Amino acid sequence: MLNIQHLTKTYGEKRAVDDLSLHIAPGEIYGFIGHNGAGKTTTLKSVAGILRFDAGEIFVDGISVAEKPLECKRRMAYIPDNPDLYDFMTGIRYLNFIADIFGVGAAERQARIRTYADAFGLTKDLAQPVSAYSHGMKQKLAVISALLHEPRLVLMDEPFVGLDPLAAHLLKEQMRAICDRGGAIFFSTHVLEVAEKLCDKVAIIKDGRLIRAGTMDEVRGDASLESVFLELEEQA
Amino acid sequence: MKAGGARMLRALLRKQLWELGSFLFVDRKTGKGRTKGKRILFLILYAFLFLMLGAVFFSTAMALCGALVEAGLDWLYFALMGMIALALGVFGSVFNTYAGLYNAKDNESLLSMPIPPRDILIARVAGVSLTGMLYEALVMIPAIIARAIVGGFGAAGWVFSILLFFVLALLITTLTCLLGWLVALIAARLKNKSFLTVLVALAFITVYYAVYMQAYKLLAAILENMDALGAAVHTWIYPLYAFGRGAAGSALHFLIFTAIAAALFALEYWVLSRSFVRIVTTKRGETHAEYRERAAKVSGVGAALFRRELWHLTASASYMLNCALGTVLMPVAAAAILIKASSIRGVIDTVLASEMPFLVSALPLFAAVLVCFLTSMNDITAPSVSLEGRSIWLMQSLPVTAWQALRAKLALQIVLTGVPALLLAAAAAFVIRAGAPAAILIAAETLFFVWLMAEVGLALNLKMPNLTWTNEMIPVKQGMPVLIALLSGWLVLPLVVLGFFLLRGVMGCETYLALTTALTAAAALGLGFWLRGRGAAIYASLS
Repeated sequence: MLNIQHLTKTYGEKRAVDDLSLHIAPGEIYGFIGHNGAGKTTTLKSVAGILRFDAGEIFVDGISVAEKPLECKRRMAYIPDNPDLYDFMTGIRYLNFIADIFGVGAAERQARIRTYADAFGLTKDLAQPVSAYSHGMKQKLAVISALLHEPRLVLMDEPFVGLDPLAAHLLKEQMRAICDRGGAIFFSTHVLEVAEKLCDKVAIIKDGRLIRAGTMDEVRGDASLESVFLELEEQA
Repeated sequence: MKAGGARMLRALLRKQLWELGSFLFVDRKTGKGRTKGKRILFLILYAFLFLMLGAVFFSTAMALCGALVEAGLDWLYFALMGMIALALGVFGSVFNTYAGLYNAKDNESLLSMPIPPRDILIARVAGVSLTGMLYEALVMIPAIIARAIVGGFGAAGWVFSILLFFVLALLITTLTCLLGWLVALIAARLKNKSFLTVLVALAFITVYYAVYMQAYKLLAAILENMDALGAAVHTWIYPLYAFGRGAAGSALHFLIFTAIAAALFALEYWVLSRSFVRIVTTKRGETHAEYRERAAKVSGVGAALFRRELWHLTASASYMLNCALGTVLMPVAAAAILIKASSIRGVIDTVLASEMPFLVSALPLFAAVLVCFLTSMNDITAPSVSLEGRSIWLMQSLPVTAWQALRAKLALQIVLTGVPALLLAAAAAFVIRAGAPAAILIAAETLFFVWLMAEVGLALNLKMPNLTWTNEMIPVKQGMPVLIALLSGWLVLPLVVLGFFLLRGVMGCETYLALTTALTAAAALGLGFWLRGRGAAIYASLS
């Protein structure tokens, strides 16, 4: 599903991501862990086609992000850590705009908007301008918009920040549903308990370099993910 | 405790003063402090602006003062100038009052501190008062000076007119707070605030120009009917009469006006002090539109991107007013020249034909240049990239090319400017009785110019983007791309006219117009290629 090979991205002198390679298979929820500034967001944005990278390759379903970015973007959805959406639109206009861009038909979009907006408790606020939304509501809107075109791969940067417990629970269910349909999730988080319970595989990144990756059992062994993470942070 | 309370109030007043004058010390675009040199420069600039505006009111005051004083109606002179000062003070500061008194960002933060709400209110009202006083000073200082120049202005006049300056500020504050409260109430209940703001602004512009155009007639009417006007003011607007009499030196009327202003202010302060906390902490009457599911309308990518640009424009009153006013003004101009067609033709057939016949043959060029000049008022693309702000990631993550996004920005300006411009071009061609080839050339030059200017604005913004603004006004009003786009349109057109006068021995007007149209089209094509390649690459890499 997602194949990252030797990804390198620099900002001036600083190597934000350094020779990072990862493979995510269909049906997998892949957690991405690291301290602030470790290179998680840069990696996710490079995969999403937002940032151009200096070296390496990224393939989505075997298609190169660098060569055919639109083909890849049609298969993906990206939810950033701080959902700066279009404040000048209402919630429903925003969802219809995203659906138009992805070419979602009238019947499907209507059904999906109804389903997801009801599930996330956002239906009655859809006529409100996005500028009037709280952080959590914006996050819910970003999640709903990401699900509208039934993406094969969903990239999420700290997706649970700002969500209430019910919405967080629903998002976890949706993540699993996407994977059950043959899709995949690649998300960053600082909440190690969430990663431990939710992820099939996990990667730990420090200063742009991948320091551990594999299934949850391979990475943590008999210890907790937290203790492994802290130990690796001290060692590396 | 009392000393502590006074210290707190002083601190709040200092904060309020700092807020009002912070534009001198801090660059709101970057959030950084201004250098000493820039502070002095700004101070000089604002002082110059104050003097210029003061000079306008001084000339009005001088025009009224002599005749009214001579007729023994010096009180009417002060009453009229006081009325202008009142109107300017109230309408000039009403929107600032709404933002500063009822909608201040730090209201809740201050209420959470151990500060009596009364002190917060006093500091806020003081800020409102000072703003109103600045506007009032533009009228009243020149008015007092003009009165002194005319002569026969005794010590009582000086003392009471200066004291009444401060008393009038009290009345301005009262009315501003009241109007600000109404604005807050209306703003909370309105759905299409941006459109209403644009309409109100247009109404103000219309009234301003109507008054400006009729100023001499108005002054003449006042001077012709001064006795009747004086009697009407005395009968119907007694406070104004009292103000005039007081400023002219009557102690009794000074006291009457002061009592009225103080009573109104005290009443309003009493009402505000009882409801201030409730007003600033509740979103009273705010409309909460309930979503009702409707059949979804499916659009293509191009249409969706175009609508996105249109929604952005129409959601922001400042964006519409600063960058799309031409869309409204061009049809108005078209209607105006059609209504005045016979007068314009009269001037062409008599004055121009006999005095400057060579200009008659150049009319198609002048028509095209004037239409293009008005189209330059629209610079929708110039801040459009910066306005993406922190949500730029969205377009970059969606399956659309950078060129598709840029093309939608161009399309919006071309449609919103091109359609009214064509109307105006057709009206202009009709009024100057242009033949078919000249009419087609006027329309073609107009359209290519609109296309070129849309591209110029977009290219400038791609070269000078600002995605880190905190207030949309910054890219819209203070951005260099907007300023340069506006000026470049206005600067290039005189050069086109100059070119014609240099080449008129070599080619006729229509040939010259065809040449400029071809050059404009070539420039638009060239810049279009740049936007499609380099411009799109810049847009894709913005962060």
